[in-house]
Amino acid sequence: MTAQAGGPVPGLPAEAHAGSRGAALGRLWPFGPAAAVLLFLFFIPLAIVFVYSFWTVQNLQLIPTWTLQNYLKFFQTDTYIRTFLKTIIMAVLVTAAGIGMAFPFAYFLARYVSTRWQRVLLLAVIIPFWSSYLVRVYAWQAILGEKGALNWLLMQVGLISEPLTIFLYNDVGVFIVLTYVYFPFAALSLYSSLEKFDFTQLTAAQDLGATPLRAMRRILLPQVRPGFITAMIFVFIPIIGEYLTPTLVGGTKGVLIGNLIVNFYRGGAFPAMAAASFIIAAFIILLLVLFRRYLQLDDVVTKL
Amino acid sequence: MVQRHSRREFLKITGVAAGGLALAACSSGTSSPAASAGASAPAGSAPAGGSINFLTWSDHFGEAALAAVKEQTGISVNVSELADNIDGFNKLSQVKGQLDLVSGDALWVPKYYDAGLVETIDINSFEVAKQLYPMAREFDFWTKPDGYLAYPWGWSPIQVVYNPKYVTGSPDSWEVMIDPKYAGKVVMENQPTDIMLFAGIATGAKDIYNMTDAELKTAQDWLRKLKPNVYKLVQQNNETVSALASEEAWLGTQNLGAPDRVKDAGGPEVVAMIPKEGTTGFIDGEMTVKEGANKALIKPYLEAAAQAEWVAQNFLDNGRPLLNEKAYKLLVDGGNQDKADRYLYNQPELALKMRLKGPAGNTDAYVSAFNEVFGG
Amino acid sequence: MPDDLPAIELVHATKRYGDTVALDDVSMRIAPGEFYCLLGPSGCGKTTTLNLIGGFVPLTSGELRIEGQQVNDLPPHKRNVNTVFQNYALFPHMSVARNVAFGLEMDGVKGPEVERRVDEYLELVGLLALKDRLPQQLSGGQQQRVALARALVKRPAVLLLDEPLGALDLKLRKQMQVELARIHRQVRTTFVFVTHDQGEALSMATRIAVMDAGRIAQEGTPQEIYYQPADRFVADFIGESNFVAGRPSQGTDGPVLELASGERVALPAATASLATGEEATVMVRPECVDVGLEPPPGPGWAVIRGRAIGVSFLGDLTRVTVVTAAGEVVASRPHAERSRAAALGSLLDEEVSVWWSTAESIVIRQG
Repeated sequence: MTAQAGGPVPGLPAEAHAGSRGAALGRLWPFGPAAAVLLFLFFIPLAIVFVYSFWTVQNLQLIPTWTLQNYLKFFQTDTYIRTFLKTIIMAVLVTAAGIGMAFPFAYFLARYVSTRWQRVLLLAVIIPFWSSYLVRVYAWQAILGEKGALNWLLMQVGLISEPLTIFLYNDVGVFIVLTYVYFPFAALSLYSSLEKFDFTQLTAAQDLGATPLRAMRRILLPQVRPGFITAMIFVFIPIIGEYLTPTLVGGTKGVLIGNLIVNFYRGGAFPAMAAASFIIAAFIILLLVLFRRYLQLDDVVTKL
Repeated sequence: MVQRHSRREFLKITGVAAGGLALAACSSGTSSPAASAGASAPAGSAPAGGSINFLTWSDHFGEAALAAVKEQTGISVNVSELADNIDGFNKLSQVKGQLDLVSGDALWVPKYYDAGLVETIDINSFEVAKQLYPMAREFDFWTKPDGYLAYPWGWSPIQVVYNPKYVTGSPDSWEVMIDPKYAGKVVMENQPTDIMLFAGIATGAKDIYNMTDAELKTAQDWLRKLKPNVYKLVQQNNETVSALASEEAWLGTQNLGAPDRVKDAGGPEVVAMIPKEGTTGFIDGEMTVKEGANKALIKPYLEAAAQAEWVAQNFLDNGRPLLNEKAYKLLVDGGNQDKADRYLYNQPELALKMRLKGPAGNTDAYVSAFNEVFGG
Repeated sequence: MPDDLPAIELVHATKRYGDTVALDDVSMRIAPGEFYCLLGPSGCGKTTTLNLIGGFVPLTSGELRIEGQQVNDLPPHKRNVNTVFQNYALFPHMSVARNVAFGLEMDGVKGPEVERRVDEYLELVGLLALKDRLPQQLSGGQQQRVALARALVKRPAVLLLDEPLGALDLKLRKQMQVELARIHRQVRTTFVFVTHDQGEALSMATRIAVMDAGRIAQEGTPQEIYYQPADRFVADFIGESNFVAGRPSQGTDGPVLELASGERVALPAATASLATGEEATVMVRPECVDVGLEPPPGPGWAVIRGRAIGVSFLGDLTRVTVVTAAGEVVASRPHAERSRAAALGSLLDEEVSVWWSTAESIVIRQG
């Protein structure tokens, strides 16, 4: 149902049209509280931090130097660039792994499971969210450690004779835990797209000569693309900023750019922290701009 | 076409949304309580006596002590937790009058004073101060023309702790931390500036709080050798203890009392030593906030809370030496002399032999130096 | 292809789902060019048969041959059979033309040939002007025609249609019946369609298989099914029937059925001899039954007396329900002249006779 543009509506008295611009503004006032929240709790703090990124700090006092040195320092320091690239690669890998696991799960759920059990399984995916993020990640310390459940299992099965230390306090541990943590986002996004899909289309495609794989590629994937885009946005972008999981299971080898920023903060080095944060933010905005073609917001809006 | 929602539906929706937000807020926990940009609870007035807002470490008070203080004086205490001195300094700078009492380490205290955040007290007018070791009332770094900067609490050097089962040869130097034999077996607390200070000591910097660029580079090189040995940087002291107890870690840094804490956590015998190059340490005390709304209650609070009985109890609970001499006598009388002596309780003069904790001249450079090595 | 090779042949086909038997030893031969209908109530196995032919469901036992080749294990995309699905299953992210072109692309047809064929078949179903629209922008009837073109463009040996007219309103349905018949004549492909609507079956099919509980109850042309139902189920399912049961016996003019009341109902002269002991049923269509105060004289009429308990004026005809010793008998009389309606109306509550020509009745197998 498309809305009519604000032209004169036949049959309404003239007073209804008078001051239509004021009326338009008047219609917007319900957004006031949200706008205020956005302004005071988001834009203004962001602006303050942006200003900090051009200042320097001496003796824990901020000095309004107005310089680009914080940004330059970031790009000139080998470690920071390396860590940033590593974070991007980690985000790509976790997104790929997450979607790789979530898609078969969501497909199976949407196509083959009865509605009643669909709800149960969805709940099983969501329930971990009800417990604290911290607690869940701590639990992985107990699973991945030298004396942990995973090593125990591998030794029981006989695959290894000595416990392995490769699962914890490094990039592997971070990868495993991040995939676990972000799986529900990917699964729910893909599921919501898939459950609106009419699977008889796949039968029809096969009837018309497509192999099951071709049918999926030509018929299913284009129609669930919004689900994929959503999944990627909700997994990739937050991981760029992740610091908690690396702190708990990354040790000194699994450090991501978020940890660097936290270190800056704890050392009182606010300008360096601010500059690094905005460099990351700029990167993400760049990505969103470059891929805006694929976002196709009307896809997301109408299919919601 | 706008659909009319019934009011019931609307309330249901907002209720769910609010509940969801609350849940999200609860579960998106951050690891450090310091991350919550922090004012403590605004000073509400208790029925009689009032309340004070205290920003401090968790071992500066005891629940029993606070309850007794409340009974005696009617003063209740709103405690908010402190991660480290940088955190405390930044927080106090931001909220000022909303806090009344703030804890700080040795050389940080003068910084608070110079920044106009805290004011001096007349230490000799405190009855309970007579219970302190005399030297605790005369630290030159806390003495100002118009008074004393903080009410002394306790002290401890940072020791290197090792598990003799795996770390052989009775090491006595910081070099053991970078010994390639112990790759992946060292645990440390994630305090970038503190770790830089250790590096400075290990590499012989003259003033570890104001290292020159050359000294910083040397310290950084030492850090590069340290990095492969450290497998984990933890947020809290007790994580170091559990790592040592489970023998995941063979080496770590701790305040006095590590062997007891590891034993209590079910771990093996560990040895604590002060490296020959020296170590950092802290002497801490409570500072009166200049603009604190409840300043007048500080003295009555301290008079009640700093009594020897509570100090002795605190020592038994937390295990590091405190500066209340009378409390030592109570410990001896209570049959705890052995423990007290082991913790060097009756040798407060050792406190002055440490390189006391204080702000670095250029924290930016220290943090950068650290990040460049441990960045990733 | 030799003329006598059937387009589709099922040989002792059985399909079991666990303990449920959906198809029970079904055999059928569909000749090329037929417009063949599978008719029956829900659960009779007609859709299962369609799915078997399409390849969407495997046989439990038996054989399926398409154009002589056994295809039991051939997946759908390899069979020379295409389907028009009940919900059309058009691809919403493709235009009408791309939808129709899909099957050709899957076959590797390229370039201008694709466009030519697409246009040809869109023209056939009358939608050439809408080739660039999206399916969501079309009406139900138009969508169905797109589905039809999409399936036909590959020139399959057999076109399967699953309840094709079910989603259409009455007027559209009648239109499409004519359309489908026309298209069938033009492309001369074998059509196999499934329906539960006997009116559709009768009007469109060349042959009908009436199915019940996984078996074929009767197979034949619409006339055969209608006038010579094999059993009570078929008779009851197609059109309306009057059933008169009684004990077979010999009357003065030929075989009769003796009712409980003693009345004797004449049977068609050519009725094969019936076992005199067991009960038999004769069936006659309401439109063959006449009603009035007095039956016509002479042989060749089956007559029963009763009382008219209901008279319904339906515009073009009147239905008179008469209760007799053999139960209710319904007579359906058209109004060739207006006066007929009034005459029939006056029969309400009267003692009347119903009669029919014995040639128009048929003895249903006993039991």
